[in-house]
Amino acid sequence: MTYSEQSIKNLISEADQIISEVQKKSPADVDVFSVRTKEVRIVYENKDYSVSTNHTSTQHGIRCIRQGQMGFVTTNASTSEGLKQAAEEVNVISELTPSNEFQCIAKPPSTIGHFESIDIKMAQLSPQELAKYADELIQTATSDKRVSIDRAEINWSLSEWSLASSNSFVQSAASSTCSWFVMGMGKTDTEVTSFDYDGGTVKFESEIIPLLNKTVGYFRDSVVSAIGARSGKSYRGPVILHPQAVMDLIGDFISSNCHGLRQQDGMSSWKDMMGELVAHKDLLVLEDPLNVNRIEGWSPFDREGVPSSLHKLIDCGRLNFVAHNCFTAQRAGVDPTGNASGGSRSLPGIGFSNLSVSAQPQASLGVPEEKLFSMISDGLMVKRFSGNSDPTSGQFSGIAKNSHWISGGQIAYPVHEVMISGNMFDLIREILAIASSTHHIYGGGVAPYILVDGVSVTAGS
Amino acid sequence: MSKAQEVRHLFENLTKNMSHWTEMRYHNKHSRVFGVRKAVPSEMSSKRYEGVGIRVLYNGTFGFASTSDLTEMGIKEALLKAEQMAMALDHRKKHKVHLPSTNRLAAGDFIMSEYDQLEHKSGKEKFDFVQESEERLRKHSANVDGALCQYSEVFEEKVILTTDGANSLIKLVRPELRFMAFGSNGARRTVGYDSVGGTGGWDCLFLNRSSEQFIERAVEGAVNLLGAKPGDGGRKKVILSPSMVGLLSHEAIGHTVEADFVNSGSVAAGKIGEMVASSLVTLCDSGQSEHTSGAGGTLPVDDEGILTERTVIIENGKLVSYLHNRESAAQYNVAPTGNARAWEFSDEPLIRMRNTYIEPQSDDLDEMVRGIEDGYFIDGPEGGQADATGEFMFGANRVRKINKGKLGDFVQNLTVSGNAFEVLKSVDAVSKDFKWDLGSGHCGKGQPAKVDAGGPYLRCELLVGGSQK
Repeated sequence: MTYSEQSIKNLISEADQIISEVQKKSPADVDVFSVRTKEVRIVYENKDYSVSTNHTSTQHGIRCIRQGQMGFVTTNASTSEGLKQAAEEVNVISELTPSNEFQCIAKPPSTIGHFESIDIKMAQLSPQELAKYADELIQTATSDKRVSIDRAEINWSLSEWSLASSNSFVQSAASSTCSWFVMGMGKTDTEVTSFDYDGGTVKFESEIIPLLNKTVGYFRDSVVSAIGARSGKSYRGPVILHPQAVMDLIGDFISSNCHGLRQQDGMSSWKDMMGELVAHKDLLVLEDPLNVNRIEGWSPFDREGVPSSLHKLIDCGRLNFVAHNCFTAQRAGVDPTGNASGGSRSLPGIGFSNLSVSAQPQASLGVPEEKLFSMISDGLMVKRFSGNSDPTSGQFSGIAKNSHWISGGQIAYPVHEVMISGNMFDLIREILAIASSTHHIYGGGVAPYILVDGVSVTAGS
Repeated sequence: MSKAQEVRHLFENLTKNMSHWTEMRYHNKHSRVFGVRKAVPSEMSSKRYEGVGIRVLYNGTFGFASTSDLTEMGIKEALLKAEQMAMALDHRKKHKVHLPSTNRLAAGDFIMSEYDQLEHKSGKEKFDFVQESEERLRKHSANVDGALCQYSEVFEEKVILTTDGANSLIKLVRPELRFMAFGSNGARRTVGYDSVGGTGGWDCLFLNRSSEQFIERAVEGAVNLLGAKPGDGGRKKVILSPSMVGLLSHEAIGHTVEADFVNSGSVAAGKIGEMVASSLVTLCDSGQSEHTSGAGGTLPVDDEGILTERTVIIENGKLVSYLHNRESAAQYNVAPTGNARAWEFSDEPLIRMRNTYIEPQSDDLDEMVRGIEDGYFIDGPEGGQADATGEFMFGANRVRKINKGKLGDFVQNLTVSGNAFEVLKSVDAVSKDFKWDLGSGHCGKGQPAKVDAGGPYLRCELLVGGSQK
């Protein structure tokens, strides 16, 4: 018996009741994505603990498709009466909808079952033990007195989720995790820096302290290094993207253009470009949803119950993958790819889990980080991008946050009021170097430092 | 008896002999979304999220728990968990919370008449409007090859009861509409937007613009961008539209004066009484819909049971107040401003804005444009972010060049930045117009919150991101 077996059975039983209630009206394709979460959270703000919270919730996302007419209802009811009411409501909503031939739920997949990532010590962590880890977080962050925490949270959760389908299959999974984040700024008598944040998620209780110290240490060092920010200089040319900025700009852009619905809607110019060179030949972008060591994005099956798998989106700079959920797959006449995203509160979208950006193995552009920095004599290193990036036109424009000026291949000083703009289609072709080592980014991504060309840098006075 | 009344009765019984301060909040949130994208229904959904959030103050330490079990036993269990959570932090809490009595506690029923009106408008009528609007968007121009129209509505029913005297029933409804047109000329693809979000019935959606005007603006946005050239970057004199003024007021000023953010060291800390803006600037945050009705962040009572008010933050350029919940108001020895808000029953109340705006003055917009030699007219906010320093970044998708006092061509979407307080100090003209115009925007601060913002047209200086040679 697995740790969550009985609880999962109860969850699936509620989903089965919903399917049965929906079908009382007349036969319909129904899937129910259910999530049960137990969560304890400790919040620190204003230089003190502010509140601790305890929350248990169960939610069902119910999709009904009857002769192409689709409706969707979310409920957090668990009583028979509440589930029946939700079933009735989804029938009413689906009747309002015009029929569409591509609306469908998943067929029974080849791999079904129950998947767990539960560490017993983690699953049984008490609020008092969590509070001790919160103390560690605060001590690490404030070990430099110039750090001012705006908000820090540490969160324990035990999550169970299932997909029950009228196509006679059920998928289920469970995980226990501890996650945290800290947000704040550097502060002196005369200066407040831009805020920055960092955090992490682990599945083993024994991993909490090492990763917490590492990530909170990054945060502390980042905000302190932003003290003394000066103006940069305006120019057009090469900039270094920090791994966070790589994920903000390159990760998001490539995800958006490998998105089946966006391609079908004409919102991506990569439609019908499978196999073509769209980026520098040394660039590799992949998703790795089955990697349980990257628990933030661990996803053995997708929002529609389709098994997940590793996909190379960009391989040797060539477009290698287009992601589909059941709707876009049906429209394209292909199989769904296991990329249906979302939870019980939304209809399945399309998304990617555990994205990685890196240099292709044996890439000519792959260099050690120090070498990459030495390739820029006078220019900008962008840590975070805060702005707008249009994946259709490729245009991006925004602020380089927590960023530094590079001089003679070394970090010279922090900068403020620096804006960057350019075109992403050009930027991913104009890569000058990719660091051979990668870094884990808060939120789940993995990326290296990358040196790109052709960016407009506009500095304030 | 309605579920809300049943729960209110339970709350009253459970809090009769409570030894420590307790806040009980029942929240039933029911939303519907109808969307059509490129002639295909993209979303037809209904979401119901109902439960109770309980916050206790045990020995000066808050604990919070929530449950969707609305039986007496379920609520008692949640109460016990909230107490346990407070105890878990009790010996770690350095500064014990004390909540002084206040005459701002809300008692009674606050029921918006439009709640039932919108609830009774049929789903078919709402969906038909969406479907027809999407078709009109798509067919409005040969350069538009796709469109999206989405309608959403959120019905909220709350009971808020505290052991020191708040006892209120609140019913609110907030509808929203979004319009998008996808432009194409073969070589280039663009998107034009317009949206509106209000507090009230169906009619509150059309107080600023008719449905035809929404469609025209979205289509114009997409089509104008097809031929637009990149703008040139640098520090520029600009006119900000009411929607951009709203975004500036909310993101760049409003967040820095939220008392929790002030305590963490925002740039507004210690500046009460100082001149932080041009004397032409009076900036407020209100739970009411000032000047015109229907503002999206309107609420009569906050989630601590405090009656909301119009809070003047900057008066004629001088910083005069922060935004408070009960805890921070006690710390600053002022009255709570009614800014504690929780998104759902499972969220604890945080300090949040409501309707944030700059008061109109007497300038004429045409005259303001004539006063610019080389600058931009900036409208069409595309989201934004601000920092503890007051440094902000906003995108804009409806931007026109101003040359020698005359409005010129549209330029491509661009991003503007600056330090909010420096920008407000540079204001040299404020128009007599006023609009709530944040559209379907929500604020994110751990939890979402429906807010609105607006104001007049402002003339000021800021940094415009653009291409460098």
